[in-house]
Amino acid sequence: MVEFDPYSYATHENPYPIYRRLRDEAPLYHNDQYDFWAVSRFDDCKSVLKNFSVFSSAKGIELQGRPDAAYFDVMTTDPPNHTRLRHVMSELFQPAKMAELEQLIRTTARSLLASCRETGRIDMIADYAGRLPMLIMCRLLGYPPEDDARIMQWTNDAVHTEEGVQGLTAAGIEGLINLGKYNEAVIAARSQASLSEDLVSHLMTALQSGRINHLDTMGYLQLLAFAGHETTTKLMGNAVFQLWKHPETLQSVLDDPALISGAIEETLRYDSSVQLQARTTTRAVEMHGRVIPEGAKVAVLFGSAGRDDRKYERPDVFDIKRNSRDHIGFGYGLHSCLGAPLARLESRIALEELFKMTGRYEVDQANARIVHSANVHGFQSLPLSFKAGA
Amino acid sequence: MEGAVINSLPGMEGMCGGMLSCGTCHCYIDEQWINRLVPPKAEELAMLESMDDRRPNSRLGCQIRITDDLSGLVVHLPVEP
Repeated sequence: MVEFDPYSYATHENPYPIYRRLRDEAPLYHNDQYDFWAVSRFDDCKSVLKNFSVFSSAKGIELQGRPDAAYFDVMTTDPPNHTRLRHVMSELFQPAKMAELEQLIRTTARSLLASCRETGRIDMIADYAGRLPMLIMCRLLGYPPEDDARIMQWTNDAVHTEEGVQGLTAAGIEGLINLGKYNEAVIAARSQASLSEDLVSHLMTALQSGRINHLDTMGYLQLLAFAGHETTTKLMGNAVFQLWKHPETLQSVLDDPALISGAIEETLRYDSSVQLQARTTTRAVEMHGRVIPEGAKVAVLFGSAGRDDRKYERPDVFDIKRNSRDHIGFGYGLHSCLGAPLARLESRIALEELFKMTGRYEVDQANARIVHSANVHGFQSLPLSFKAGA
Repeated sequence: MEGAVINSLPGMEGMCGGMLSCGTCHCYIDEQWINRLVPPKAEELAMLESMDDRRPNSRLGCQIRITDDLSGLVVHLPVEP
């Protein structure tokens, strides 16, 4: 019998062989220990994500349930509430809007790389990918740069998990609460101030016009602090790692940076930074000859969907020339990632600037460490070496 | 797009959830209605240009804001592949 434990460190190291067995042997899997169900085939993942009236997000999208310190937001609501919240922001994140940020992202990326240029060493996460998306989000929100370090600390604490512990650590809960206090203060200060062009101003306008209420505003601010960095950080790191594992592909990307976009899309399919999201059933539902009861947690395994040979030819081959957006690395449908155009843009520019500096690089695999999380897959430390000053 | 996806109409994918990123909410607006819509912006046109089955009345469903004066709008969805 195949066993899938999303909290085990061994699963985090390499979940893909387990996913294959789940798809082949237990397409609707039940974990008795933690009492959740899991779907692993591409089509099943898609249909669960699509069918929001049966597979609801309103009880949270994590297996362990919602942390008490969390706010409801666009990720943890269903239509029509979800539709109302999503419309407040969706136009702001469309690709043409994001393209205006190209220069800000490039300048920020270069300034992060500057201190590593002469040393020939960089920790892809701690020095670069763990900072860039978060700095950009803080600038988009309009937060002052002197607050960057503490916001990063709170959000890092909140996403850290420990083996055998379901859910947040004590430091994580404290991080969420501190972030909440910070954002409450932001709303209070901004309600007295004249508004500008940033995202907080946009939310304040929606708040003052009655489109959203105070809790909706808090939900958005809390969400954006995380959405700002966690998954994009892992995406950049995973892309750099996979390219290093495939030296001929890396060479082709170094020779032709226009291939970077394809490498990012392929990373989203092959080694997605989001591995799992949960839904909760609103009624009993039958799949693969078994009945999931009402009120059950169902894990949607994004990382498995990308490796399904029912969907992709040679799914275990990392091939950046597929250049297909036909993956669910950003989710699917109404809950599909609002920030996907920003994540794509940031990742492309981050890799362009990195490769300009490094040329060919090596990964210090012995000192690379992955994140231990049931939901997110990627590195917390990924040291690279390259020829300095090239 | 949302109207079709929320009501599970076949032929409307809406994969990116309205972010003008995937083109899977491509639809055809009935001839009688096409001129009554707000015309597409450059980004929508660029996406439509890349589509094999584009027709003069093609639009992306996610870019059509539904208002009261569009009551009765007729939209044809591409057949599912």
